[in-house]
Amino acid sequence: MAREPIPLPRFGEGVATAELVEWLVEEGATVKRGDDLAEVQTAKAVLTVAAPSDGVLCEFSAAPGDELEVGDQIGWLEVDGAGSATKTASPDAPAATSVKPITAVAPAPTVAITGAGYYSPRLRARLNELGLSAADLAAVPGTGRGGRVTADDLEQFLAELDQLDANKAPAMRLAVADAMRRSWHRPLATVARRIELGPLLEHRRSVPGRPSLTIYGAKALGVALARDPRLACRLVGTKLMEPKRFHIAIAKEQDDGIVLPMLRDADTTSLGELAETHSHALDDGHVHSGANERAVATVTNYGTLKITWAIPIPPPDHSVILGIGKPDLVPIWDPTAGTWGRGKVCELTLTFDHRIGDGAGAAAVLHHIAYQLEHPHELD
Amino acid sequence: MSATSYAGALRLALDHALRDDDDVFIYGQDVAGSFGGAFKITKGLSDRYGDRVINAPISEDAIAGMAIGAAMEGMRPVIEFQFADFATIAFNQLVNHAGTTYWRTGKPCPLTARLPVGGTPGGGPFHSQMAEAWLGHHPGMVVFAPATVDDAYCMLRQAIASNDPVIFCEHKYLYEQVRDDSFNPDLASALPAGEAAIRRHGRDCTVVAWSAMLYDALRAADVLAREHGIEIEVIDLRCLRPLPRDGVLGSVSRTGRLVVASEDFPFGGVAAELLALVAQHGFGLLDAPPVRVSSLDTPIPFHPSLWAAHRPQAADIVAAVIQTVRF
Repeated sequence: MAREPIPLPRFGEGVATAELVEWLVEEGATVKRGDDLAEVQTAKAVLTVAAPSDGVLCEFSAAPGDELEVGDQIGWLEVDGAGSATKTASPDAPAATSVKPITAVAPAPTVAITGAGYYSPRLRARLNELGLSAADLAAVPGTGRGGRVTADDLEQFLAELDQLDANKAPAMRLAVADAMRRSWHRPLATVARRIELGPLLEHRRSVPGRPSLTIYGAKALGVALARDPRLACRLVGTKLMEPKRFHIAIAKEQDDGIVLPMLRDADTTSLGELAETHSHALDDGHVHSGANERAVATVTNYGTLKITWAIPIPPPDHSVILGIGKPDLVPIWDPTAGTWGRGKVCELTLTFDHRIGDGAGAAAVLHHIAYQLEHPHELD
Repeated sequence: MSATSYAGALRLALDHALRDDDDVFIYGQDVAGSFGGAFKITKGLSDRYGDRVINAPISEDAIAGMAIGAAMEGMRPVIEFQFADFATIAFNQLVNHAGTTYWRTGKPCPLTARLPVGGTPGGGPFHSQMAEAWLGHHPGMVVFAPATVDDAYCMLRQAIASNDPVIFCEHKYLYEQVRDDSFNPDLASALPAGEAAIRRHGRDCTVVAWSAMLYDALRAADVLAREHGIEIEVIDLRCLRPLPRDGVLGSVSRTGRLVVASEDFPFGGVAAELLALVAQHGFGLLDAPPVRVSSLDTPIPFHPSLWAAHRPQAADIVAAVIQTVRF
């Protein structure tokens, strides 16, 4: 009689670990090759471990609940003869001595490159070949070591995608997707407050071209950042890049994407000129982009979508975005008269890269913007 | 018909080469007469081919130099070194002359140099070494290292037929240990030189080996399949120079993982060359860093126990594969 180990088999490329659910036979049971011995739970399914040979299951070496690696022994079989070692034509080991061989192999690295965030060179090469990025793997549950996505997981994901109807994404959609992916690498935070719009709505009647609320927002944002440019900086490595001019971009949805026409020197250009430039830019379908000219921040007026409040994401090369909500008619308390009146208000949000600035600085900038919009003659 | 040994296949290849081509002759220490060479590979050949099996003085340098001259004159000499270790004495003739002749003069140098390589219990530092790294380093050299009976016969025939100088590495341990009862020289066929053979299929990890280490790799494959549920693909390199690049890269493209098992010393050898090949040209095929299992970086010890600790064993290959698969 000989003892033969029962290993946790390799169920597939992706499966690295499994949990023993239960033994299906008693210790001491006589089993035949191929009989189900135990149930194990992998990331994908509950599977059974089959007996590698005929014999007696003489010892369990794993218990239900144990986390096992592929190749770990779960028990021992007592088999007839010299075990199930397959006969080979190869000669015996040249060293017929009993000396324990020393392993000329370095221990496996313990650094955390092997976790879920690790993509092997093979996986990366396959992604490159397919034109995919790591963001595209977000939907793939990794079954490899530490939850990493294996090449097989990717192929299975692609096979599943093949079952669905696929349309080629428009170039504009892809451009926005790429910008949003890059933006999302940063920790973003948002501050918000309400402003009264009465004075602004009164003021715009007196300005040529009757600038929109968006133009007012762009001007006020430009002025606020010019006074305190900290949130207009970009962080590159260990350096804060401070702008010299304060061009402001305006987010505009167009053709299933977003364009960002730019208002140059929003802080020093008059509201009337800004309104004119903006309307031309939209008429031409012309989107700014000078090599050395770059907006430092964005305004988005989601109020035009009848949305009161949102958290927009700044474009990847901006650290801050001002959001303007839909104006609402609300009751307003007049503390001097001691009466309720009515007036228009809207919500402002300021979403910023929290690496660049903190809540207090962002609040100060937003309050400054709000002050200007509630005192629009200051913008003349 | 009894099983043919690796040594028997080599003897048969020499016999047939002498029979088929009058330009072939054998030259080496004690190769003629009743002695038949240190490992009896040429035993009986002088009875049949007379003065085409020639005893040489104890000078590896002179043996190689004379054979190179004969090769340049159109002969096809097969020289035998008693142990590969002593080929170092002929190093100048082999790498400076045989390897460069064609490139300097346009004349081929169809020399076959037979080198009994590798360790056996008690072989010690001067009778156990592998020769592929020293001699394969030089341009102009071809290096064969057959592991099977078929390859021993066919590759020796290929070596003698080649117009390039071939370093023919015969593993001493395989001479009598490897036998094949289905060997038939009329049916034996070898892959072309420069192509690797897949000796076992598997998709979890590629293990490349050559010469006697092939059998350690196959034993490791059995253990891995039986005890660990891991299926390795075992590649027999067969020819070390030129290196069978496509066979290695092709296998790694299927498995994503590479372990190279070599009996040679670790520094600057064929194993390092294989890892460089895969790192440079197959980086995008890899799921884990390639791993090399070699002998230890010391002279080869005499005592069988120490020698067993010095040379990689199947267990070392098993450990390396598990490490690689679990990376």
